[in-house]
Amino acid sequence: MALGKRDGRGAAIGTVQQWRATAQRLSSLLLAMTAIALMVMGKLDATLAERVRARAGDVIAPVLAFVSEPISSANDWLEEGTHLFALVRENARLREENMRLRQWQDSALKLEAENASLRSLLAYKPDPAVQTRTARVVGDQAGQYVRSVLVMAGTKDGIAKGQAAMTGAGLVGRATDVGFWSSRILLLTDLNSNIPVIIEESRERAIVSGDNSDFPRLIFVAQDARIVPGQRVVTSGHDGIFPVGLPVGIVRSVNGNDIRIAPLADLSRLELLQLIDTSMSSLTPETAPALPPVAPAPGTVPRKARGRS
Amino acid sequence: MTPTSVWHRLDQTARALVPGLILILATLLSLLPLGIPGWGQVTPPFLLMAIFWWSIHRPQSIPPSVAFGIGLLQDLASGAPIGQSALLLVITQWIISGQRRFLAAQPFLLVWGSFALVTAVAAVLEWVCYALLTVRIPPIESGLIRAGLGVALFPIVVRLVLLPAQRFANDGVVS
Repeated sequence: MALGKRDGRGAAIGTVQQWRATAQRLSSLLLAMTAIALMVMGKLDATLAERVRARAGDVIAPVLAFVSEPISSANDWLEEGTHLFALVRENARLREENMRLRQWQDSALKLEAENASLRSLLAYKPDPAVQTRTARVVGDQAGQYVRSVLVMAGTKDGIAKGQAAMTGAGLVGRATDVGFWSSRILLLTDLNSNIPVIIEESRERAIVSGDNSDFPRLIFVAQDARIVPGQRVVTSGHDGIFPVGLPVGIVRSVNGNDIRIAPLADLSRLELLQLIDTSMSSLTPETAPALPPVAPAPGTVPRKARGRS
Repeated sequence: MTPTSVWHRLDQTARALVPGLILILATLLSLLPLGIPGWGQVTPPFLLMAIFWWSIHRPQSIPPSVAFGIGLLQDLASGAPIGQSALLLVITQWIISGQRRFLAAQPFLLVWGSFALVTAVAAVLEWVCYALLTVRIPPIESGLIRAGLGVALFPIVVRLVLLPAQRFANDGVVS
């Protein structure tokens, strides 16, 4: 009798387990279908997906910023440590570079003066001034096929969709999903990135188009354009959002139609980005730094120049 | 209620939360800018490792809804198409938890082999998803490098993180 009772309970447990397994399988199926539906919806309504991602970024970015704080300090210490070891060599290199840069500065100042006088002769109206904002990268590129980073700056800081993001060296990409205090920057290497540019020397127009490789392609180049490795590529401003003349990259290789650009910015290691706002609302004389936005570090300005300014 | 039972309960809760915490840690690890040049492009699939491991050794801790949720979080944080990782993780959890009795009884080499298979399938599936959604053919190399790195690192991650975490979660013996 007791045996029969136990058997009954065993059968009941077996049924419950079976039922639970079926329920789990069903929920897996439902969730998989939901995931597919989400992907299709994101494709059909890109604006909605963008808004959702921007809101999610607002929640995730502060968390990442908080967690990455110790990592970035550890990296800073490590860097300082390695710098200490290479101090002498680094010093010699910097002295040499400083000399070279002084020559450049001399010629830049000369050109600036010449430019100003020529402009006054022509009654030239300068390009609208730009405002830059600095944002810290808190989220690295994580998607397998997406080349983008998350930065800690959003509409609160005046960031808007389409704004150019730069490092000191060159263009990095543009802002896509802009939240209140976070934004996603689509790198110029991403498959969906197309940036109108010109070859600095020849003023030939083209598009820098990402293909997820480290070296984006230069497309829509005129048939008779003469493009050789080493030429500089800068933004043309033809999209109406980017300012004209932001440095993008250097022509790396030319194989028939396959022209590759090496970005000037080191995209593999992004820490701080400058976002460039060219909207009319920011056009006040106080907020008009010159482009490219390079501020000389204290101590690197030669005495001669200091005296002049 | 005696203090012991409160402690016991807290202890039990902490142990039950371990798999979830590991999943969140794996997500963060693949998102944080670690300052290693080029890391972002080849970040191994830590989340897939964790889901794979817990599906075999502690399936009750990660029901399909958790796999879905953490995948969605990963998609939102990484800028990938929303739903892509969620789909991959739900499918992985589904398949592996169906084979868990078999896999739990196998030597590690075979588990490792299964993980390699799952990773390869996931990489291809992710590639197909992306190609369908963007109507373009993305290069698959970076995906394969990522998968390869994940397979190579799997035994280390298991030895250093997943196995100790599993022991802690199951019986409190931390090795």
